[in-house]
Amino acid sequence: MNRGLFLLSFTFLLLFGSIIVNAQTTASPQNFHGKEIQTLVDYLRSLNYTAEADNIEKYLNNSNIIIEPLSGGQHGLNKWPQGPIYVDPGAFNHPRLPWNKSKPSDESAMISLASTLLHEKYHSEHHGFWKRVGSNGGHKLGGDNPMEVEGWNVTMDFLDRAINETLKKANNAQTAAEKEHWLELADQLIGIKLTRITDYKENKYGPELWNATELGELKGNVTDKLKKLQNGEDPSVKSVIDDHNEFERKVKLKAAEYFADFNQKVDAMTNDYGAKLARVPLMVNNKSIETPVKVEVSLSIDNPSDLGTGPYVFQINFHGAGNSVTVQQNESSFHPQYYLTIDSSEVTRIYRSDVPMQTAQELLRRGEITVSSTPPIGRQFEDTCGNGLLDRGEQCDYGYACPERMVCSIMCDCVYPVENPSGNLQPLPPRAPIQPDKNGNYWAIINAYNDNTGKIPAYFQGLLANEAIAIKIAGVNGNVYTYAAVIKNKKLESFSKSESISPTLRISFDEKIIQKIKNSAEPLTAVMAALNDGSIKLEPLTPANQFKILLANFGAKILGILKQGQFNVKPGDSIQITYLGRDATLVGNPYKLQIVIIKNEPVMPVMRSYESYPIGYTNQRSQQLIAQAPQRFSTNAGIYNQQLNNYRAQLARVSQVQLPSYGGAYQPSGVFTTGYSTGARYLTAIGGARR
Amino acid sequence: MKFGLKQAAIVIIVMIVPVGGEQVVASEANSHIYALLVAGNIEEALVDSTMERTIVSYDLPTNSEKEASWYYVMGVVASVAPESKRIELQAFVNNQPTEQVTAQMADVLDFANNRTTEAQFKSKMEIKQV
Repeated sequence: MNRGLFLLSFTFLLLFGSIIVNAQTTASPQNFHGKEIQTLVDYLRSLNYTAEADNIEKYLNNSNIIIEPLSGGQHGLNKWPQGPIYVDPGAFNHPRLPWNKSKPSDESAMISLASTLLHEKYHSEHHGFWKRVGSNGGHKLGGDNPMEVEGWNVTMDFLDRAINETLKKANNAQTAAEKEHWLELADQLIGIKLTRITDYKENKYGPELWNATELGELKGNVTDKLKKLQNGEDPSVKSVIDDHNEFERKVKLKAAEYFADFNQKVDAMTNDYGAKLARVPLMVNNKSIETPVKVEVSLSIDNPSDLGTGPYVFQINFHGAGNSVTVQQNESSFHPQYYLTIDSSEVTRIYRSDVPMQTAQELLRRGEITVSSTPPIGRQFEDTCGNGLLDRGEQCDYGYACPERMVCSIMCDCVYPVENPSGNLQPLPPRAPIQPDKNGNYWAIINAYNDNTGKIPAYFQGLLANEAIAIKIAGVNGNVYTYAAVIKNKKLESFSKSESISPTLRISFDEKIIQKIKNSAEPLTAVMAALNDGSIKLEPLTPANQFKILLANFGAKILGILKQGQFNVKPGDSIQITYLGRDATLVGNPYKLQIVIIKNEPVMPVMRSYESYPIGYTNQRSQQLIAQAPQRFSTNAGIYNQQLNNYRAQLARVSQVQLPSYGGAYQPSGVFTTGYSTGARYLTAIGGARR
Repeated sequence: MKFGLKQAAIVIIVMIVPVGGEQVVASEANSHIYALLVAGNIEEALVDSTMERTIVSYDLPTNSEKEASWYYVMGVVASVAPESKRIELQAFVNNQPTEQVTAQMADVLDFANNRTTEAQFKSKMEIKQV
């Protein structure tokens, strides 16, 4: 009875952010987004923006523009210096209709996208990693920083040029229709600029250099001229151009003032930030905070920022005098005295605290940050650390302890902790499976749900229009968590950490299932599997809902059958798929395992069934040999528990071995002993486990 | 055909009963051996370790001595999977298979513990041309 409500499971797993489809596409001249960007490039050339057009085209041809749904209403994103630009698909027409260059609304969309690309390209080409981390750390790790102001200045300059030139075209138009076209475009472009300025007004992007009131008046003036033209009059546009030029002059003055000592301000901010991080291990080791020290920091950015999310590693050399630091990435000559693992929320807490060292001490005591004198090894994907499984090479996780006297870091590495004054090691604190924001609200979940309801089949949407749902989750730490969700008119109206509602439905499952579905190549099918094996349980609390569950169950079975038929591949067969947003081929190997070959990536996940998460990883050589003689090998042949490039990162456990060169002299016993002793050292380092 | 209770029961049973077969896992021994091969710059390897035998097929690193790589691999396997009765290994050079080498684990462990000489151990290894 409690096995069916596909809608609820799908919806709620969506809701938890676990299966929001990561539909990532690299724009190329052959696909829709690439063709549209090429149209934009041609359009910019026709407007004499040659340098901008050439540069955007270079990014397009180098596969450096990626289309991906972005969080928080961002238009674009650049995560790494010299890295690609991510663009939200909302920048393009939906449905996918090609832009019409003579249609003002399409023209404004193109110029809007151009301004986004120029902004992100500026980040990619001008902003070093450390400056971005540092200036972000000085603020909110979310955009309110000097780098953003600089990038947005580029956006605004471009929009200003476009507005000015469009107004000039309106002024010089030979016909009323032509004048109307350019005025309408100018009106829309000023509208785009006003929208972007709103971000400044909300203090998202630093000081307001562009006065929204004056720009609003300018827009009113253009709208007025447009109306007059449509009423048969022939208004002069010259006065609007003069107003715009005066507006621009004021902007330039403010910008010049702001950027006068920009580099010095950023340097001071990043030095201050680096020094505070470097002093954390000094403090916990009872050393003077002016002691020179070298620290390697593993920073996990946990909130979406202009650096994206995920782990970053950098090295801080604190010189000990004032706040003087040198920062670099991955320098092999750098020998850290301490390793600090920390996530961005904790960085902000320390940075903003009036008593930063006490704050750091408290975070350390609670296990939120880790200081060690040995390197963390096998750094993990954020999305699998904490799921209670050693599924991506974690050294530890909830339920998997570290060797004696080591503790599990927030990156799921076993590290030697600094002991607290009482000498006791601190265990990881239990974490709720769904984390609220700092104000105790769940807006991220509510927004994720409401932004994605369109992805739920209409058949199921109708079944879940108005419900009060009690959610019970068995956490991997052994605790049980309850939440309440209220859906009205198909929208998630509230989500809270209590059961202060009279529920019409109850859904219960284990926290691990969220991660399992999240890691699945085909989340819908994984949800089906979870329903079928009872991992997700549903309890209708009204007679009407019993009927709904029957209906939903019926639909779920049909979808499930379709999905199964579509995705699991027979031995020897292969199909083209999208695996976690990447182009890939799914191959059935002789043992009925599903092998994913991801285009242009060496990673080859192995799954028992396409709806499940990877049981391990393999390589071309192994699968080639297995295909040739499947009877010779066991079904576990050539399957390893980590992505294969991770093994190289593990070499810190043992010395790297140089095999004797071809034709050179060697002692067989010496080479054998090297292998034997290296193996023994390795096993000791990982805790002696053999099988 | 009318879809009755019997047919429904069959469908349900088919959907519920899991597919049989042995449990496939990422074996720790395979993973440990693979990690140690990487330490010796040996990549693109197949490792299959069972109680009966451990098979290692690998791409010989450029400019490395093939026979030396056999000894390194045997040392690694003996340290990680000494309970496996036999080691079968084969290097690939330029994508072409070379000799198949087989050694009994008891002999390998004798060699590891200096109970046999190098020459005695070599004489016990089986080297099959391909």
